[in-house]
Amino acid sequence: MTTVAEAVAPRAQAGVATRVWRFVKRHALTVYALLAVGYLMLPIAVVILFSFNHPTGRFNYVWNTFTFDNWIHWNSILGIQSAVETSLEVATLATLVATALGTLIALALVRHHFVGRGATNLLVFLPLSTPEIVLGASLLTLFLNTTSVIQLGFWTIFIAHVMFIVSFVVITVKARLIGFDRHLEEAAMDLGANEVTTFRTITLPLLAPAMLAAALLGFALSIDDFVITYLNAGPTQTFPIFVWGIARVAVPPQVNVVASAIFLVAIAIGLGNVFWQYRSAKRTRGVA
Amino acid sequence: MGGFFHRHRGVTPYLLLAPGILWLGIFFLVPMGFLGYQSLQSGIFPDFRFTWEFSNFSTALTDYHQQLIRSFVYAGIATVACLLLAYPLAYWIAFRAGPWRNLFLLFIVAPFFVTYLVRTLAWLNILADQGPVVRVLRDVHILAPDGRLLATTFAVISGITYNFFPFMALPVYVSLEQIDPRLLEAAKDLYASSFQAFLRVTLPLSAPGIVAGTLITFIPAAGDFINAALLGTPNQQMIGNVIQAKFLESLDYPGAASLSFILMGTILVMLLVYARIVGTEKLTG
Amino acid sequence: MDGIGWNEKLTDPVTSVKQLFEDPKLKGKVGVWNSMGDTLGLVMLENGDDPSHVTDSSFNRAIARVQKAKNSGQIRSFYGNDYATHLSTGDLAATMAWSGDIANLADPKLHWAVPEQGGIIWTDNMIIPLGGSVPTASTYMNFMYDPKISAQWAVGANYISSVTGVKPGAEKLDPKAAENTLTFPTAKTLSQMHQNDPAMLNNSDYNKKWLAVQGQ
Repeated sequence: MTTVAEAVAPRAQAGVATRVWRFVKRHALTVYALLAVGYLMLPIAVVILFSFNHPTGRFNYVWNTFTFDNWIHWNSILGIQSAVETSLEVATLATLVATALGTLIALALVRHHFVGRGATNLLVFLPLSTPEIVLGASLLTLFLNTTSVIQLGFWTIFIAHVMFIVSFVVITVKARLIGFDRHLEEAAMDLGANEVTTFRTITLPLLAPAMLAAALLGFALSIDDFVITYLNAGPTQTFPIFVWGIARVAVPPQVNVVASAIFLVAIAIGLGNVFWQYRSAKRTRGVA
Repeated sequence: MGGFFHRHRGVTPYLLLAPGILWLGIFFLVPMGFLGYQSLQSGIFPDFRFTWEFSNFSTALTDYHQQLIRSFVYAGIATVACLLLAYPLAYWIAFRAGPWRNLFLLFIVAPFFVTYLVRTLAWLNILADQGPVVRVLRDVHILAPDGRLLATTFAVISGITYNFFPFMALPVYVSLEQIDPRLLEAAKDLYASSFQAFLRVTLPLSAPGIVAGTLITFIPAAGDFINAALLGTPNQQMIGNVIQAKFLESLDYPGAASLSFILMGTILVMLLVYARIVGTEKLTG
Repeated sequence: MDGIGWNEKLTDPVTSVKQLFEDPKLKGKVGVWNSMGDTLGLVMLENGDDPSHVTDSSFNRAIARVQKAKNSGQIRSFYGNDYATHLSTGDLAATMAWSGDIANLADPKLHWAVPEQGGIIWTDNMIIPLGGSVPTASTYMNFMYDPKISAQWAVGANYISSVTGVKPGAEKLDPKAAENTLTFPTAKTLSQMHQNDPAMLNNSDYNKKWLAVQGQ
């Protein structure tokens, strides 16, 4: 039989150990998440750092001295501004179209059993498995044979981007649709809503986070694409094409400036979203 | 309008599919058809003739099976690495991030806004032989005194992992995000530890996301060439490099085309095996 | 011009392809080009062969030498323009290098020299594609080859101009660039330059062997 003292002491010690363990458990994941983001951001930190570099020669490979000049004269390199604008325009447009088309395909594939379902699934996977050079070169062949209809330029880039982004959207949105709780939709229809209203008020809002994730992926793919774009751009330049072209004779720090700026604007939008989420959460709490 | 879909239920999938499939049909299938035609040609640039040259395929396999296998090994390792690294991050974003979630999703894709060349140049700086990372690793004897990180298999696989990270993280996040937290509460009410709850509830429910993520990571990674080109040596060349060289250097279009089809075919076979293993519902719903 | 570039902080001057391929102190820190004409051209000169008249045996000798250096780990990798990155960051101590790149890097610790056995010189060319407008293109070409305009070009890109009489114009624009012997080489340097054999460059068999050395 244990004395009272013996019974109390081990429990107090266990209390500290378990409390520490519980603290570690609760925060370990957050620490990991921050470390993971740190890993992702490491090269970007270097990119931003080197945007303030004043290199000795034409190449921005080694740190020399600090300067703000590159940020002040960011578009002094001929062609950099229009390249960035083209990249952003194509990416926005292609992402919107590809997300729409891809979501429709995903809905059809997951929710309906129809003739040609297997073949369609296969067709969606094929562009993924094709190396970029092959996708780009074969699409170029098509465009070169239809110069009466379309010239190489912005719209051929747009077409190419939608083509390869769609597969990514389909697969990402499908991950959400598989396991989607149909009961909510059935309940809505039991309450008198037709298919379209149900889709608009129940399905689409629930699907929105997945579509947003797919759109983010698509935008990233488009803005970063080089090989397919290079082959199908004709005289038009996107930012990756511009960087590749200029990297032969020089890598001016302005390239880093533009890249950093795009990144920082994106993060600013993200922070704005955080703020907006806090506000709307406070509002719903107030209502409830 | 809802009545229309109700009455014409059979037609709905085709209507949904039409625009996307049309796009892929014209801008993917047609070029692929021409590629198929090219793969059966023979000759030397620019005099190619269509001769039903099936030997292109056997030559391609004999000459380049080493690069082909290597590509799948690299892509496989990178995919597993991505899964292990990305899953906890996606989990945290889905369950713990709250109002910060969209910001962190942006963080995941942000590296892509900085073009590939620029971010790889940054990595070349960070991992340079004379740089801080390598120096520290040499000092603590993880690397040999003349060891290096760049121009190695490690560099190529790390490059692939880093550059394909969002492709794994986002689909995994998508399927984690839909999990109702009350299911986890119910599991805990039934005396499951948090680890058991994760294993028996969260993990299976996130399976479609894991499957989707592995697919859109592994498949394009197998055809990747740029990481091996900038971070590797001739000993790390992948099938993508071979195809690139055939297209642009030796102008061997039939060879490049047949090699591409071999790559696609092998991936499709792997896909079928994978579907059988994980169960087709996780693949197609 | 094709030659050898080196980093004075990491190595003594490297003056021959032999040294590049055989100096044990340079092991794993040597770069060569992935372009066949340039790399094999320099190797052939080292072998005593003529790069402007390539035979099967001179080709095989050159490629065997490269293969040996690659297998032993002496050669770090085969590079395009990106050898300049690695030379700057110190991954490469010495490498086959283009004179224009070293000029553009303008890094005081990086040097370029003609290999002892000779270097290769090549030109970028302007061509008018079939169906192109010959009058327009010709006007453009005439304009670019005007010595005053070519001077801007030479000073801007730091690559040697093919037009004679460019130096005075360059001196007015940028005296420092005009002094740069990489952009305005001496007659002695030019006399050590050789040219590639176009037949070698177009030989698909050679191309395949060259790609095989690079693992492609």
